[in-house]
Amino acid sequence: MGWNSVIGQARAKSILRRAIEERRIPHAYLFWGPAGTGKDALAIELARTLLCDAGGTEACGICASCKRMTALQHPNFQFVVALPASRSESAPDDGKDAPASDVVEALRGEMELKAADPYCQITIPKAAFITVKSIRDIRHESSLSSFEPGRKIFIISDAEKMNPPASNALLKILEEPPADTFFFLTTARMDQLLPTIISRCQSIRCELLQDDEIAAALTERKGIPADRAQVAARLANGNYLRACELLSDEVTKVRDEVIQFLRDTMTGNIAGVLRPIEEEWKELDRAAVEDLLSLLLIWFRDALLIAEQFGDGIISTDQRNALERFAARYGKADLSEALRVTEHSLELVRRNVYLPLIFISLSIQIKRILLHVRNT
Amino acid sequence: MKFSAHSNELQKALSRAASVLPTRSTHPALENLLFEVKGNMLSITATDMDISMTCGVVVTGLTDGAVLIPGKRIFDAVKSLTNQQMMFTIDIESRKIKMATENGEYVLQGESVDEFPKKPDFKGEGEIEITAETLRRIISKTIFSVSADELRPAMMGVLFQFKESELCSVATDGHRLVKMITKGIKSPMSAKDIIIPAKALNILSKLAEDGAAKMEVGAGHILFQSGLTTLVSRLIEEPYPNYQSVIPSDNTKELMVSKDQMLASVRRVALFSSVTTHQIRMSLTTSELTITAEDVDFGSEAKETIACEYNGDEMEMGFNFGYIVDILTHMESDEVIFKFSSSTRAGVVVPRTQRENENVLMLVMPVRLNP
Repeated sequence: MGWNSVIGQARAKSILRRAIEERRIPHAYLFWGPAGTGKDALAIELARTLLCDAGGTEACGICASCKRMTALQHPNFQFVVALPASRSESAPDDGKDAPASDVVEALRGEMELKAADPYCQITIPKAAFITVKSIRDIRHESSLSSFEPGRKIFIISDAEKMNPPASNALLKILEEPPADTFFFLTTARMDQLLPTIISRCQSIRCELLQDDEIAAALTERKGIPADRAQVAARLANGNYLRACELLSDEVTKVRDEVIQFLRDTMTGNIAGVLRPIEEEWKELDRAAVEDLLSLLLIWFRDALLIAEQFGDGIISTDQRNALERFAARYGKADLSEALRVTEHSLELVRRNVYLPLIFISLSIQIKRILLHVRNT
Repeated sequence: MKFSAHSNELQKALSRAASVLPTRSTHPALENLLFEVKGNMLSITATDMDISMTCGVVVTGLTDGAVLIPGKRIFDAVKSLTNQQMMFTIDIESRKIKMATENGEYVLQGESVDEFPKKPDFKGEGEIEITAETLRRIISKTIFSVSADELRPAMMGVLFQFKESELCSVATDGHRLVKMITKGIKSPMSAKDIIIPAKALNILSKLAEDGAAKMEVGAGHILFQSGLTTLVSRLIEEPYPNYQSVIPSDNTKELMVSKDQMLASVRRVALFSSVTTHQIRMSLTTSELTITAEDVDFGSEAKETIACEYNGDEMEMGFNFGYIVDILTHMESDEVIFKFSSSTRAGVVVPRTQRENENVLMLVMPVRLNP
């Protein structure tokens, strides 16, 4: 509980803490930054802190308000997400009917998950937009006296999903905010928000998470062994959600393929090199290929560390034996050059170069680099 | 927790409480009713977070306790029972609710009371003396002109201005306005303005039974009590538009007509009006009021003339017939007086004779006519 529920984001946390301490909380915050960096988590934690009966800079976690916030069921708190458009949404003045019961059912389920893990992504089938109905509900709710004395807080998650009528309706609210009412918007795509909305919110940037922050969080929250957590964190590019996805067995399987690719390259098994390239990897999407190359990077990095006698710092500790054998054979090769060509290949993937070409070229270069120094 | 209750009594209380139960709320707990037994009093509470209602039922209480019971299921179950005594046995630990009747035994699974939102912390600022009948009257005379525009929430309720010995209630949607002053309502607060949401008033008007009623205003909430039923509603905390400034005081052209005659005419003529504009025309001369309507799209038109007394220059005005019908149906006097200044300014409508202790004023905006 408390600010520890948010991974990393020390800068954002200190800004928020200071705002609470000085009692200068703006009526609207906009949390923006790449996906999986904890924008919702920050917004929820800030809401919890502001609603806490103890009123400190950190939610106490034991008062009645905190307890209800744990389930995201505080009466003065609302979490707004995209919902499927109802039939009447096309008629501008008729947005009043309640959402269909299956939507409510889905929303309840998702909210439970969100309450358990603020990093979880809410996905409701066919939900494309935050509709004007949701914003009208906010307007209605904020116009009434609070159900329980105290502040009212609305979180609008993925605010870029607001359709134009919804944006305009929200703008109207932000222009004349009701007293003791706070709006927290979160978005990964600030460019899609109305500039007039952005200018009425105080922006807080959520930076990419550090690898060790993600790894520590994975170990602590999901009980993932440190080595696996490290690999996932490194591949996730500062995105905690991605790291969680990467924890599946898929990653180990892909890494084994990468090691096999390396082995085939070095033993000159051309058929072995070409088979995965032509058959499987060609079909992968670019993100998956980037993962694959990142795994190769990790391998070279670990090998370099072992070759330079820094074996304690390796990521793939479960592969220590294989790595040591690899380092013993190719340790004198210019491993940093191998790292460089792999990185270059990653760059090419991002530039949309034909995938099989990248792999074949990479395979040839790696072989040349590793063998070249060994022979001298 | 154990008590025995009569199905008819229970059904009465449940049907009241069920009117507050929200359908498809994101808070699952709100679909439950809170049952509390203390001595021989069972109180059933429902809330949709805007309005909380507690209905009391006199029962034979055996053990005290509280539990949440799925609202719709218990209501339907009790509704389908014939006049008989029911015995409720509730295990607080497992929250199993057992109902024994003449016909058989039924078991329901309840929820823990912790899930239910706490009752609003109500601190009253003194009681307002008002009878249920007066309240119901005020509501019925004003609520029809409350706005449905959610982007202007202040107008989605009725403004109650309490003064020392009178109550001024106002409702408007920007096109028409009702202002009703009721004298003889004593309030402990010398000047207090509150806006009560229309939804709460609708429930209130159904709830207010004859006899003693109690109304109390507290910070952000209003409490209303009638018999064993208590209703607490949140208030709209927005500044109400300055309605005083829109009520014209220099409308000297007075038109007096028979209410029933005009209402009937407008209703008939309106059938021929345009379905998109709902517009009717009123042409005024000293002794005749001509009401016309026209629907160009469907080639229909209507014209009726009724007798009137009018003291101004000849004039033609356009109105949305819905507003005129609303206003006339809510007037009690046999004759009504329209006061105009020009064809584009707001018209004031008052009954020819006001009821004792009461002053009703309505206002309607005309629509601009094509020349």
